[in-house]
Amino acid sequence: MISHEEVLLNSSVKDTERNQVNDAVEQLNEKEEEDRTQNLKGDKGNLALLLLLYMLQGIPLASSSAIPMLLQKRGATYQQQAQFTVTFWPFTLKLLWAPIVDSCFSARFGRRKSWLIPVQYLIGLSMIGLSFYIDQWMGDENNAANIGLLVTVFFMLTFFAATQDVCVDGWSLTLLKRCNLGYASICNSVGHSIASLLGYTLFISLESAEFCNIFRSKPQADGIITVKGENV
Amino acid sequence: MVSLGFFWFWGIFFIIANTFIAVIKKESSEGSEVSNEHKENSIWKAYKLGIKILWIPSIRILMILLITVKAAWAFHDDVSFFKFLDSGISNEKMIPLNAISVVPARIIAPLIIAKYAAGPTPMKLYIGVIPYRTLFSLIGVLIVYLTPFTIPKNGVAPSYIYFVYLINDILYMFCLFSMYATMTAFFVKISDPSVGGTYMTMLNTIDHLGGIWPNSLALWLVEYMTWRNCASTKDLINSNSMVNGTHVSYDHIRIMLLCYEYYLLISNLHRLNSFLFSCQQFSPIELNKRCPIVIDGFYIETFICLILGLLWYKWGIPKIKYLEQEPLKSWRISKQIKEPSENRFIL
Repeated sequence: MISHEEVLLNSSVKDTERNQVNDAVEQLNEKEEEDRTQNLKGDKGNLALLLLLYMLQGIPLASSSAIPMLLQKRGATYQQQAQFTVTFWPFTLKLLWAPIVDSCFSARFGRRKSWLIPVQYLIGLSMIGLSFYIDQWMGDENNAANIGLLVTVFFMLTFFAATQDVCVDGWSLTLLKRCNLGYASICNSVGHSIASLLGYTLFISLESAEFCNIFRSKPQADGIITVKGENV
Repeated sequence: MVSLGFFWFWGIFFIIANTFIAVIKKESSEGSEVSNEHKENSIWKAYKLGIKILWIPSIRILMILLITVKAAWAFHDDVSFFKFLDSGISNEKMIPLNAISVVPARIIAPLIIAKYAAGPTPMKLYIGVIPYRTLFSLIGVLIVYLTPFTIPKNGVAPSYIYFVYLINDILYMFCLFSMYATMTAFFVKISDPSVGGTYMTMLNTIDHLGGIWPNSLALWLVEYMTWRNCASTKDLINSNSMVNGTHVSYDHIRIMLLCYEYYLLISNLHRLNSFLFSCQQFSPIELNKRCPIVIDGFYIETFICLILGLLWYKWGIPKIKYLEQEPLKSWRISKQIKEPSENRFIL
C-alpha cells in the first residue's frame, strides 16, 4: 500500500494535480486489494472448465491403475504385472517434452488449445478402439493375456494424458483471473479425486461380479460394468 | 440390466466434451502474447528456457524442501498399513476399506480449505498441518503396536480395531491432501506463465518424486532393519534378510498395491523378480510364527523418521516463510538467454 504522504513530497503542488495523484494512488491500492481478494464473478465458467479438464485427465490414469487388479483376477503372472508397470513411466517423465508443448503452438487456434483439442480427441478415439479389443487382450481362464498389446495401448494413453496434463497445468495459469489463481489447485485436487473415484474405485467395484451380486436378487457372472460393451 | 462398456462410454464422453470445448471456449490471447515475450521459435531455445528455471535461487531452495519434506512420514505412508495387516488382521476385509478411506479425504479436504489455500498465504496452512499429520501417523504406530494385545487366544481381531485404524487413516489423509492442495496453490501462484507448462510440470514432478523415494526406501528397508529369532537354520536362510539380501517376505497382495502405485519404476525389474519369487513361499503371518520378531524395523524407522522430521521442521519452516514473502518477480525467468553471472547457492 502506498501512502499519500510518500507521494506528495512537495507541498507547493497545485490542488488539481494533488487530486489527480490522490486518485491514481487510490486506484493502485484498490487494484492491489482486488488482486488479493478472490472474486468468482465471471470466472465460474472457467472454474467449471478447469475442473472438467482435470477430471478428464484423471480417467485414463485411474483406469490404467485399475487394469493390474483386473489382470490379477484373470490369472496374470507376476512377470506380466511387472511388465505392465511400464505404462506409468510417461506420467513421471512428462517433463522431458513439456517445453515443446509450451513453445510450439498456433496462435490462431490458441496456445493451449492447439495441443489440448487434438490430444483429447486422440485419447477418446484410443479408448473407443480399445473397447473393442480389451476383453480378448485381458484373457481369461482359457486364454493367456496379451500383455504386449495392452502395455502398448495403455502406454500410449498415458502418454497422451501426460501431454494433456502439461497443457492444462500451463493453461490454468492464464485461464482464471489473477485473484482466483489459488482455486486452480482446488480444481486439480478435486478433479483428480473424482476421476479416481469413477475410473478406479467404482470401476473395480462395479466390474466385480461378487460385489454386484451382493445387491442382486439373482447372481450373475458379470458385474454391472464390463470393460468392453454390450453390443460389441 | 444393460452392461455399460467402461472404455466405450468414456471414449464417447471425451469426444463430446472435447468438441464442446473446442467450439465454445475461446482462448484469450494473453497466453500467446506472454509467450511471444521471449520470441523463441526453435525447440532448442525452448529447452534452454526451461533449464533457466533452475537458475532461479528460490527454485533451488524450494526443490530441496520438496525432495526432503516427505521423509518425515516415510514410516507411515506405505509401511504402517502392511504392518497393521501383519498383526493378525484378515486381509480380505481391510484392503477395500483402505482404498475407500482415501475417497472422502481426497474430495472433501481441498473443498474445506479452498478459501484459505486460494488466499494470499497458503503456506501458513501447510506449516500448520504438519504437526497434526505427524500426530496421526504416530497414533497409527500405536494402533499397530496395540492390535496384537486385543486379539483373544486363537481368535480373530475384533471389528472395532478396523474402524479405529480407518478413522485415523482418514484424518491422516485429510492432512496429506490439505498439504498437497496448498503446495499446488503455491506453485500456481509463483509459476511464470510464459513457460507455464514447463514450470508447473517441473514443480509437480519434483514434488511427486519427493514422495516416491522415501516411501520406497522405507518399504524396502523395513525388513532389513528387523531382527528375528529363528528356530532352525533352514528358517533363518529362508527368512532373514540380514543373511540374504534378496529375500524379502511380502505377500502377493502387497505386490498388487505396489504395482498400481508404480513405485517399482524406481527399483529395477531384476530385484522385483527375485523378491516376487520369494514372496510366494512365505506369508508374513507364517513367517512371524517361524521366526518371531525381536525388534521390528518398523519402530526403528519411526524413530529415525521422527528425528528427520524434527530436523526438517527446524530448517524448513523459516525457509518456507522466506519463500512465501518473496515478491513474484523473483520467480520469473529473466529475458536473456545467457546465464546470470552470480550463482550463489542460498542455503
